[in-house]
Amino acid sequence: MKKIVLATVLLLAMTSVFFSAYSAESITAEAATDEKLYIYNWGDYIGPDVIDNFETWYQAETGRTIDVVYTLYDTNEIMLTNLTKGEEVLDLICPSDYAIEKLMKEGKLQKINKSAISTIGNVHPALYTKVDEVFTDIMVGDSQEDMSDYFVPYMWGTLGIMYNTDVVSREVAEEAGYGLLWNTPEIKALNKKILIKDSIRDTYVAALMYLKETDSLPDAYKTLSVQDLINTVNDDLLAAAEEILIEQKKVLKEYEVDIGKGDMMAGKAYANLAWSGDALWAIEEAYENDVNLDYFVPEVGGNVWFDGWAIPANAQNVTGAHKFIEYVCMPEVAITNSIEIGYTCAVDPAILSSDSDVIALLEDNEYVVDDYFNDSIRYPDITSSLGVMKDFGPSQQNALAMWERVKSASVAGDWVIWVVIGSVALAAGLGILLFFVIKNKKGMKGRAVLVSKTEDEQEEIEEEEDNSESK
Amino acid sequence: MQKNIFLTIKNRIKGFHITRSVFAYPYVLFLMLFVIVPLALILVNAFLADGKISFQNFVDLSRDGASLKVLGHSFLVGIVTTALCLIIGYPVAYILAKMPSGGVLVILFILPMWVNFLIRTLATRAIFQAMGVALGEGTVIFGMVYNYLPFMIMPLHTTLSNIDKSYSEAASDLGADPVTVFLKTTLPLSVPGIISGIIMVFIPTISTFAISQLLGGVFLFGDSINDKFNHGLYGVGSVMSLVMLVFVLLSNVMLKKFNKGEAKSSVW
Amino acid sequence: MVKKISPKIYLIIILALLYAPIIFVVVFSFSNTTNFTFPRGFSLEGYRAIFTSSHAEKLLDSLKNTIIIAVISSIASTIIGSVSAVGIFYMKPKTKATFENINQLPIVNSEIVMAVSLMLFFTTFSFPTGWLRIIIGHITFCTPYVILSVMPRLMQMDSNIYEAALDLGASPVKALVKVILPIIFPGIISGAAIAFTLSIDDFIITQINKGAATGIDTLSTYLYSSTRSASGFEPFWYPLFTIIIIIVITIVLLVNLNKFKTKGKKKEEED
Repeated sequence: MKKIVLATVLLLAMTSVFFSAYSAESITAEAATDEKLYIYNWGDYIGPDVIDNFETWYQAETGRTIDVVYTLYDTNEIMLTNLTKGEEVLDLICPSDYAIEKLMKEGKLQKINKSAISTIGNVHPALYTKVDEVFTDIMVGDSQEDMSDYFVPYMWGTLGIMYNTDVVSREVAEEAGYGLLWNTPEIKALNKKILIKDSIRDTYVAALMYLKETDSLPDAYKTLSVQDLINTVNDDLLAAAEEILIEQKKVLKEYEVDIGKGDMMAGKAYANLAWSGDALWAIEEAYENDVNLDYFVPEVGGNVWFDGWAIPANAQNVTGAHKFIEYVCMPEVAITNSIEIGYTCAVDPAILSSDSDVIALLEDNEYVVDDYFNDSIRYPDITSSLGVMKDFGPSQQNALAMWERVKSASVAGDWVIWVVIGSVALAAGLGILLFFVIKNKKGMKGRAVLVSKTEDEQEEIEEEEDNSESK
Repeated sequence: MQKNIFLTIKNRIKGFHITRSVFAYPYVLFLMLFVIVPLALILVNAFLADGKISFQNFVDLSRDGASLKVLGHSFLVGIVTTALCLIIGYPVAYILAKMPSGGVLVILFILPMWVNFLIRTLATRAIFQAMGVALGEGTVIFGMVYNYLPFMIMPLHTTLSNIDKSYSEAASDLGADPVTVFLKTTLPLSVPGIISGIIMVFIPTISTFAISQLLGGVFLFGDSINDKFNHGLYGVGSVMSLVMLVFVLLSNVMLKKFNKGEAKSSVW
Repeated sequence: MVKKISPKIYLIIILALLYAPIIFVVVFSFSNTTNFTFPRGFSLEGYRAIFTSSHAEKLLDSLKNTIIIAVISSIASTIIGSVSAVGIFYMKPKTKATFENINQLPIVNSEIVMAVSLMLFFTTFSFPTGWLRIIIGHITFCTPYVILSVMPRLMQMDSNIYEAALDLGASPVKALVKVILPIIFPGIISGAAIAFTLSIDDFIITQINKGAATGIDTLSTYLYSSTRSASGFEPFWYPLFTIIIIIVITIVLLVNLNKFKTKGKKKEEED
């Protein structure tokens, strides 16, 4: 009987622990709000007060309180993996163009109800046009769908090169193009001060564009348009890209996603493969540190990208999600985000430049309104030399594998590694051999190189006996 | 009816000892559930590719030079770190074992272990940057040695301080000079501690995650496993974890054999 | 003379190296700097930033999470561990050895393998994301240490005491509580302390199992994510960790207090 009692008590104890763990969430929750909104976004991609302001605005608009749970990711790949796992509760995500395509194909997104977003008209129509132009054949289940039904653009920009004008002059930089990231002008100060993104999609573009610049592309690909080139991922191209990416390690400082812009503006690095938004932010911040930066997209071509809000198919607060999109498409909010993070917001600049609140905010932050909207970094011409990334499909694995090979490639030479593996295997084998040899010796003679305490004692005793006998 | 069953069970069980082991049963269940099963899942996943049982993951791994290179690189770092820890840590443990207040002082050496390793690593990085030392392989190894030195000192000290002083005394009485005394008595007797220390340093070193990236942008085995799982590549990640597991189990077995009869050192 | 001093010098050098980063953290907590530039004079700005910074809410939230997780995990693992230690101690030698080995597994196994195996497990069996996973993970790796802390006490205990108590008429439960418990109590306390510290410092297991979008962060995971973002190293980290370092050092010293005492006694006996 006592056994049962004991076992039950213990079982109860364990269950209560688990129960408290499970309910810990409610213990720690804020004063319960009516609703929750789970937003999963890029890091450093929203103004610091926007979320709080949204919660206030939401309450004023709908009379209900809302708690936004805002979590971050570094790359589309990580976001896609977590979404695919299916465990997370998410209402809003902010994928890039090709990620939206992938998610649509997998049926993971729901259509946006544009009529529920009063500010939808603020979005720059050119963005929707370009997207539908590029993504012409997305099949969701059996029907062909338009990407523009599934997302609302948030920020957009280009991928290009940010550099320190005190170390590299403008002429040299523009002459070198992507080669600047490989230090082709051979500027000594630039060595080991070059940064590139820890993101296979972006580096692939840089690598391919560099090959195109130096006319080193495999023949079959020389005539491809930029749009097609950056989206072709077969073995030849991957191998070619891999080779020069490993080459690049000689002059590289490190791979980064978010810290690059900080390093550039602090003068700790001099060239970086950057997104236009980061560049805009860094150029301004650097000014205060007496560091001079500039950004350009090389002539040979590059990448233009869009990030937009999408709603997962199993979102738990679809109305709230739509409301949030409505909020960030408001001109004042959009421009606030842009000012804070540097990126170009997706709201039509025509609407922005005629909104008095926007103009006031810009002037408060010491911008000259005309210059702001005419800045070619901020509002570049979307020419045909700028390609949009599309989903790699099943070849994504190959690309990721290639990237990992690049990251782990040692500049010193691989033979060192093989020598090490060989010697470890040898040592392990020797160790095991020795072990068995000793084991046998132990059994036979009672004397061994490695002795345990008791055996040593015995020896000592024997020795002393011997000594006393001989005396 | 129930009472009868219990009596028969009780009669079958001899002595009081076994009834007390029931205290462990909930934990046994817990271990099964949250340690054994997860590891079994790793095993299963290692052989699972595209939903089918196959060796595909192993093939992928061995053909994919990158992962093997990372493994080799991690071994290199691990061996160097362990060797350095041994060389630096043995004298420390030896000196402490000889000192009368050594048992107390060793706590000072163990203490850094209890401070959050992230902040320690970041501080190390800050010191390097302040000193102007470039981050790279060297700093990574330094950071590893710094992090894992206490792990080496601990078992070494326990073993060394448990060695009966009379051995070395007897040896020197018999006319041996201090070096010989050390080589022939203390050193062999401390081997269990050495092995214990090596294992406690080597295993975490090769599977470390984050230290290598923070201190030098070096991509090691632990980073690789984490990367695989982050990107949903469970198959390959599981194979790599399996490699680690095999290592751990192997070294554990070896340790047990060499340590036959030694009292298990406590965590302190 | 030289022979006597040089070992001590060696110890001091190694100690200095070991504590350099820790001292760095403490010293720089009083400086007015966010990045790794030299301090611009003594200031308590960092300490105030713990509460006034724009990220203060996130920081305090993660601190709160860390403590809650640590408290729940350490209590749970201490209870489970202490009770199980008694159980394991009284097992038959063969089963005892097996379970001691399995118990060692979370300790000797590489953390990353433990973390990913748990994640696979949770995903496969659809455990709710968030708190439950994190706490189970912490209990899993803390309990072995508790057991390792209690077992030595049990081994030192005279096993006949329990039988004696039973012979004298006590029920098994009473015998457990009144006889065994007081003896292993120091082990339980130190086990709880270890579990608590381990849980507070844990990084890998929490990072991998906290779920990407649950918004739960502990100090370690928040610190890690801040190193990967551009907002720079907030001024409150060093002060916060200075406080934690002091607390942890105090706990460790207190728990080892008896060692100091016995050393003192031994010295007296030797004299």
